[in-house]
Amino acid sequence: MRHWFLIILAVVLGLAFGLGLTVMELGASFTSTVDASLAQQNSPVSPDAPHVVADEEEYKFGSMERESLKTHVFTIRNEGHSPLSLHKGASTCRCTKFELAGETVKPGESTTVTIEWKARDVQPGPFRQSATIETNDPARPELTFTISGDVTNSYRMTPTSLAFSSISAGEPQTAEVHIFSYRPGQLEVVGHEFTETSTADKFEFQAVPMPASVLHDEKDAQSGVVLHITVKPGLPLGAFRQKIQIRLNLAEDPIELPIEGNTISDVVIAGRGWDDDHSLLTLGTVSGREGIKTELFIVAHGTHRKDLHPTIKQVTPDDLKVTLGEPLGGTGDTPMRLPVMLEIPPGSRPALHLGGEEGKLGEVLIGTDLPEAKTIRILVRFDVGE
Amino acid sequence: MKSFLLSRLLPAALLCLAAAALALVIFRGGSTAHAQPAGDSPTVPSAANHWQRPASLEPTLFADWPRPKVALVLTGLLQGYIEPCGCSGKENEQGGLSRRDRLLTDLAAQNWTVVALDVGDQVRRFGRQQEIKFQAVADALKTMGYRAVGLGPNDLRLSATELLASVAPVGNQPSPFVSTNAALFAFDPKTLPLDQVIEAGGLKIGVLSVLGDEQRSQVNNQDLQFQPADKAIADGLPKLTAAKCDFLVLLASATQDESIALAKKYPQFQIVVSAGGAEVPPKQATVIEGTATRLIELGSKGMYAIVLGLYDNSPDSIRYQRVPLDARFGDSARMKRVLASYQDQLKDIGLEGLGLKPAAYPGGRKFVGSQACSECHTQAYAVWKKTPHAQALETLAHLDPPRQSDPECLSCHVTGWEPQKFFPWDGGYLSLDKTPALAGNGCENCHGPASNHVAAETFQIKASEADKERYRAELRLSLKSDADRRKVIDICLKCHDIDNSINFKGGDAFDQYWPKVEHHGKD
Repeated sequence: MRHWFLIILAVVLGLAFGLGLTVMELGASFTSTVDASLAQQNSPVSPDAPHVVADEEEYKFGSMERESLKTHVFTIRNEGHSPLSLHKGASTCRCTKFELAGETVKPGESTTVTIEWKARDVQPGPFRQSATIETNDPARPELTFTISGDVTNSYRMTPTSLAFSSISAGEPQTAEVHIFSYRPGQLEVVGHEFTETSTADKFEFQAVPMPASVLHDEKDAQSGVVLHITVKPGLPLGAFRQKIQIRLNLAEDPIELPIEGNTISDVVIAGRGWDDDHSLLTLGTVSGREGIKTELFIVAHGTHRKDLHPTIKQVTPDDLKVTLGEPLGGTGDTPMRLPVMLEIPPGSRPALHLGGEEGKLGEVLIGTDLPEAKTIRILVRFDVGE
Repeated sequence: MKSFLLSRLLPAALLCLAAAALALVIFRGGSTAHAQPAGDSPTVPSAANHWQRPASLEPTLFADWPRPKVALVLTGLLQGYIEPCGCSGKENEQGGLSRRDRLLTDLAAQNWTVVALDVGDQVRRFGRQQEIKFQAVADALKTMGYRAVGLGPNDLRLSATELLASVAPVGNQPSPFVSTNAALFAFDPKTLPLDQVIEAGGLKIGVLSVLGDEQRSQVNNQDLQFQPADKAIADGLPKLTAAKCDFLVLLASATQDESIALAKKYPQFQIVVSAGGAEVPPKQATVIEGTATRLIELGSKGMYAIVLGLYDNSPDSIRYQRVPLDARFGDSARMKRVLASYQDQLKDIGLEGLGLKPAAYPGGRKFVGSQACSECHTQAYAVWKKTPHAQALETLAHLDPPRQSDPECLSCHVTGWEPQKFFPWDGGYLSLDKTPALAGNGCENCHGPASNHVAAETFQIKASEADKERYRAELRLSLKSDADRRKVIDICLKCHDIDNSINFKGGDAFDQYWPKVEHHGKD
């Protein structure tokens, strides 16, 4: 019985010792992020200390038109018994100008902080900016003043630019743009111009009055127009760019609608490390011990996309293993997607397939029934290390 | 006595020591279990000063925070700003993937269970460079261990094929991406999950991610399928309820108004992270009227992270910290590798591979290079040569990693590019091999292309005196009137914008900068 008592006592003492050691060592790390000034805050405040008071610390500007400037003056009082020292601190943005009228405020007196903000180089929408004043009031070492509001415009265009993500070379595509006006009167497009003249004939522009149901959903909008922008077939493969200058009856300056897009062939390959210009997949240096697995996607658009029917015709070198996944999609307007898994298995021997004198590139040939892509060729650059 | 020591006291002392050692291991917990991420060596922060930056609006972070069950780190709206950069010094800039990674690893080093979620919009523009950037950011987010990443409207404007390659799971690694109402080609949870259920810190966190209806109108991508946000949430919530989630989070790539409307309709969400809101998030979260739901704003350009400390599954036990990603966070070696790989890809692909074709300059003039100006404007040229403008391209080459293949950097560091749209003008810089005379930010970036003026003054073309004067006038800039001065400042602001030159703002700043480059007309 005595033995058990001694054993239990030893364990309890040992555990208590270990716990106590732990708390002493680590307890501080959870709580010692307290700033010295905050620590000071918690200590008793001298009755002779300055005492900073601000009646308001946030002001809402409400709506601001773009390019307009607004100012607000905040008042700081010293309701303490010794001089209050103030110092300009940080602001959320140097675009926010703030001025402190006086750096020393005697007891019973006050000073002002003026914050000025111009809605320049900003998009319409909510904004918020803050500025900090540091004080020697031990109970409030800093004051943060915040201004906020909404930047508006006399009109709003959405989207502000058009991106035609993937246009098949032989098929047109149309996108819609809405322009809302917040001024009285009916908004109309009085003129437009495609600035990239070399491809202007491949685009169409149409403007129609906005239906009431669409206008109704836009707060404070008085009228609107809907633009239909069509990209016609015939653009070369690759990226394209265009811009439309649009003149509105209710806006002084023309507005610009940038257009970008990509014309693609009916068969596209994508994946990490894929270089479309050279039909080349770069795997880099592969550890022979660990191997590597990666995946490409072959995506078929166009009217013949259901004729994909992929088969592997050839894969070189032997160390490169290729598996075709199940083709997906093809219903309705959706393109066909074919996952292609490529693997250098673990345990592969060192080898160079970097092209030129550094070994022949790997090659994968996939056969399809697509009229414009009977064979899809994928070159693979890699080297296998130890 | 001796037998008492050997038979009783000695075994008891040994038992004590063993128990003490066991206690140390148990109560210290995983301080050695949270190993530093492979390939990186951030130092464990000095607890006394690491979270402090006196000159910031948030001088101290996580003051008085006990260790939460879970620290939810919320980010989003990176909008392509993968790293802070510019000529006002990194210490004055905020944001970037490197600092974000340091925040996550430093929190984990304090033994916090960290769950990172992102609302989306990794890019801001369209084109091949953005596709590569999206891929790089996706890799970065996976490396950082993000558990749920939404897709914003700018992400969804990219090629669906490229997006698919970045978001689809690879091998046995699940995808952190989530999209409840927008699908790439077709709704397929195996490729792009409709929800995420995250188990961490003893809590189960359910996440849905929607694209708002207004944001939906920004996307014109025929390869996507959409459902209205409302319906998708209604369809997706039962699954999270069935999974007995303790916390429900909605990532809403939506306007603030729409985010609030969804929060009111579905008060089951404790947290709604909205892509709407101001550039700077508020100091405290807003509780949406009529609900117990907190609305979280993220600000813009990835300059902030919001950290929520979850203490139990009660709505009242959530702490909020706005974290400016400023210079108190150092660099991350593994993010540096991601950025280096991204720059290597840009270099390998080249401007043509990125789809950057020179565009015709309005009026058809072409760029000739500052050397051509030096023949007559020797003093102005000598001034320019000594300024950082002349070494601007070298500045990019000396960065780590070098950036001289990045169009978003080149546009202000060479001559003959549209600085805000990141493409070359016809006759503008293409490479050091092809256009060495256009390296650096040259005279023509401010004064305009000088081909007509140079050709006329050097008799390469026949030009009357009136034509010659017209060509000179096209290039002339003045500070005489307020309107002239405003025009000059606007030219400066095309490169010295708020993202890259935070000290240069407004007329006062111009007066401080002008003396450094001051030059006047012909000798």
